[in-house]
Amino acid sequence: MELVFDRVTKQYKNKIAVDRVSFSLKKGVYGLLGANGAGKTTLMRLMCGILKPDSGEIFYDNIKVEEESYRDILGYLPQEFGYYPEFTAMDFLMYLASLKGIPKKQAKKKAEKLLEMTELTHEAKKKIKTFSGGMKQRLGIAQSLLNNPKVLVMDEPTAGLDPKERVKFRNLISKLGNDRIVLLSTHIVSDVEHIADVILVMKEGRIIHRGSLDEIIKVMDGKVWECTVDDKTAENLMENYLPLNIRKEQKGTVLRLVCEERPVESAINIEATLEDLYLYYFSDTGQEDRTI
Amino acid sequence: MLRFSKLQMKREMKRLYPAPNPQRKEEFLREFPYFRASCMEIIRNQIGYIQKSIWIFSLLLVIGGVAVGDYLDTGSNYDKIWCMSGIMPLLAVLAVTETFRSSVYGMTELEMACKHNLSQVLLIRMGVLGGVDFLLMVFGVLWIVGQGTIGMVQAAVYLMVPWLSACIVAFQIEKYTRGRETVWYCTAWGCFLWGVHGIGSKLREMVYGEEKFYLWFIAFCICIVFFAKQIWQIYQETEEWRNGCGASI
Repeated sequence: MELVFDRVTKQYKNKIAVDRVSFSLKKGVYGLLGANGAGKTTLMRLMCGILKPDSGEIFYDNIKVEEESYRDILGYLPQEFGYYPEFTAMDFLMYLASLKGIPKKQAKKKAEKLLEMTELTHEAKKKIKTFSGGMKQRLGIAQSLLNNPKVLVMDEPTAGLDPKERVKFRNLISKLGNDRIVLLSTHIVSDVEHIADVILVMKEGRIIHRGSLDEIIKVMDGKVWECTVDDKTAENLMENYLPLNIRKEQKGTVLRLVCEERPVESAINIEATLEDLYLYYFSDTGQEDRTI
Repeated sequence: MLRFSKLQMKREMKRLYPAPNPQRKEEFLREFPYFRASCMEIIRNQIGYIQKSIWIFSLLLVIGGVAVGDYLDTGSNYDKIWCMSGIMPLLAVLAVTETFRSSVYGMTELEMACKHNLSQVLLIRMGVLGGVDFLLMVFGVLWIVGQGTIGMVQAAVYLMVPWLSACIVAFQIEKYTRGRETVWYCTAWGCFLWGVHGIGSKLREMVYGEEKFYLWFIAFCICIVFFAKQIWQIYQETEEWRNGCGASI
């Protein structure tokens, strides 16, 4: 079970969305992290055969992703999806099951099971247009699992879910990752932190980092500092270094900064988190081309 | 010596040698190659998902055309052709908007990632809706020919040209617009053709005259070429999804 990206490039007019990306995915949960416009959605669409690469190839165990046999083992949750206005939750699942080639009888059983799993059993016969954002998202998750996919691609699956639903989703994904390839993208750093076995950091169409949480964070070792300073010093520090967090307290301003050397005498070196790394790479402070 | 019946024997065996607990049952069921739906089942399913209102409106249009044609029948050769060809653009627009429902309601991306993807769905829908329109057209031709003055080929061309031209423009509209806009523009186009047709009612003798038929035939040939080209393009384009490319990178 291996999904291979081999020097894949995709360009829209003047913008290179995916730039000569090469990697391979095996069983497990992969988290794709990147800012808006980094190329995550394009990468996922390429992986699902929805878009064709301008150059390079993507294949799963020697099957090209454009082939029907690949789509047969694929589950996909797009960032945004619509539905026909007359559809109930059950109709929606039955319709997509028919496109996935699942016979009616079997599809009904599977749909009922998935509705139960996503806690939508009582809403099975309700029109989707009456659903909240979270319910629609859960329905989207359910449809992606209809054909028991070996490759599961989820673009922002936790968007719209409340914290309780997110925890349930994380547990579900962890289970699913045992015997399939799961790739998910999200802006919610803590989700990636909790679920993903391997994290892929994407920037300007390229995978700039790949590894486990510890490996990824390692590059930030010794670079994250915390200090409590007066307002004037805080302003000075914020001008010169990238502030990861600013908190006002009675004794002064508590700053969390990233820099190579100790910024002030009182600063203490602290353990970096994935959020620090994310902010370091994707903050809008004009330091766009950071590399460590 | 104890003698057991077959049934008793089975019972005893079960008691003495209990069956082991199933191992990796879940995995086995997950990996089990279940039967997949046949091609016919997929087509049947797709037919079931075509809105009933489309069938009803199409039928009502044809019934309306026939009723108005019979009511207006002044003995002229062309009353029935005029009525029936007038409803053809509306029939075409109904079929086209239903075919492209996926992009109107944002289902394109989901359908493209399914085993039987958007290209197949579009082909099935186009085939079914076009087929039904064709049957309605055959009915219309037979109804017109029943009057006895116009030939079957001639009647077919008079009905096909407005249907094809409405389809061709509606396909173009679908290409350049998104969402519900597509439905509105296509409906407007169908109504426009219907209106123009209505305004030209006094010219029907001239328009459908025998001596002008060659123009209709040329128009028919051109429409067929464009129509076939568009169907091919649609099939090709859905192979690579272009809806909203770049909108969300």
